[in-house]
Amino acid sequence: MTIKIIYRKNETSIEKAHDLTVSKLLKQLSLVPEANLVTRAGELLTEHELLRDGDILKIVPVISGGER
Amino acid sequence: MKCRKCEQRAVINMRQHKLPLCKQHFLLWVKEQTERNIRKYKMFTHDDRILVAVSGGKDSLVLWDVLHQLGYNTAGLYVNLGIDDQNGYSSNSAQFTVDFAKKRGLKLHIFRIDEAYGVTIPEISALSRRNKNKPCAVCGLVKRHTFNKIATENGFTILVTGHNLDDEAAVLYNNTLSWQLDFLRRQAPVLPAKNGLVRKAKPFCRFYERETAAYALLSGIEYIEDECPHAVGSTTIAIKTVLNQLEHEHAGTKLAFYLKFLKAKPELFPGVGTDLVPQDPLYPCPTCGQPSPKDGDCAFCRLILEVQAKK
Repeated sequence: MTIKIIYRKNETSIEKAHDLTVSKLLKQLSLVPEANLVTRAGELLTEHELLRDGDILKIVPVISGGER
Repeated sequence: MKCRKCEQRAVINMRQHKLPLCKQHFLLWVKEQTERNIRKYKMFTHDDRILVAVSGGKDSLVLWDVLHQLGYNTAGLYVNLGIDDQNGYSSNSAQFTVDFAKKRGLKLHIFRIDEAYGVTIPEISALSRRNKNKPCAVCGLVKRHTFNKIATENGFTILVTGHNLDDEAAVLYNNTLSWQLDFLRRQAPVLPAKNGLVRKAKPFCRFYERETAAYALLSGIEYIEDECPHAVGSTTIAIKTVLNQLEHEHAGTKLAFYLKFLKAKPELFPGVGTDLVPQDPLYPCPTCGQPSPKDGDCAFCRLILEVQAKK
């Protein structure tokens, strides 16, 4: 099972991603759901969503900084 | 996970509210909560002329979209800071803002600081002695001055910004770490108008940053995802990372931190009054006429005069 991930314009793949949820994926990438949204084909996913073989996911960081 | 309201598939789970929602109910919830915040903090009414400070980022564009959908009388203000690195940050953010306004037929004011003051933010930051290499501090000062100038000159009754709860919690955390009592006293969802200072409000002050991002994604609002090059490695981002780690382990931490501060403010600062902001005296700047907490040229005029002389 392979999942493709797009994060900050970089593409990576995860192999053997069985029983992987959004929450577990983020943890594997050392990311927290509070600071990142995950979309699949433009659809927003909650942390409990199970990922499927061939999924192309986009991780959208939500933190903005500087003096606003 | 199912939507709390309709049993459809949830697209977001707001753990701090124990509230999973589907797309339709989430978009509705954001609008309802915005209206609730506006009324709760008595921010403005449908009679006000509202100037929305927009940066091309998610928060300000979502705010403008929501206020427009709620039927408020709004126009946008984009301040072009001249931050054109290899990614063309200012040019790109300007384009997102222009496209947004055009698509909805909304009035957008565009102000270029290089045309008005003869210098860009990177130039000011490099030339200023006091603010040398502090682009975020310089940028904040220039934007605050310019927002007030445009709002006042064009007869707007209120200026609104897209500050979200993560922004507010980060500022609160930073000011608490260094016990900046003066800044803590002034932090509030609404800053009332004073002589020469337009009223300001933050209608998104109770939304988490991921909620405004989710709204943008779900409603197809295109925004600049790239971070300002000067914000990379900023204190604000470091603090937000810490707060999000705490939030991850204890849902609701950020919300409680901010709301309990607002609740405690009258006790912490007995002089702040019912609108939660202090009534400090202000003096008109002899150069620009805008109010300043000190007699003589305001901080903005001192900065601009200094860098113009050096350029």
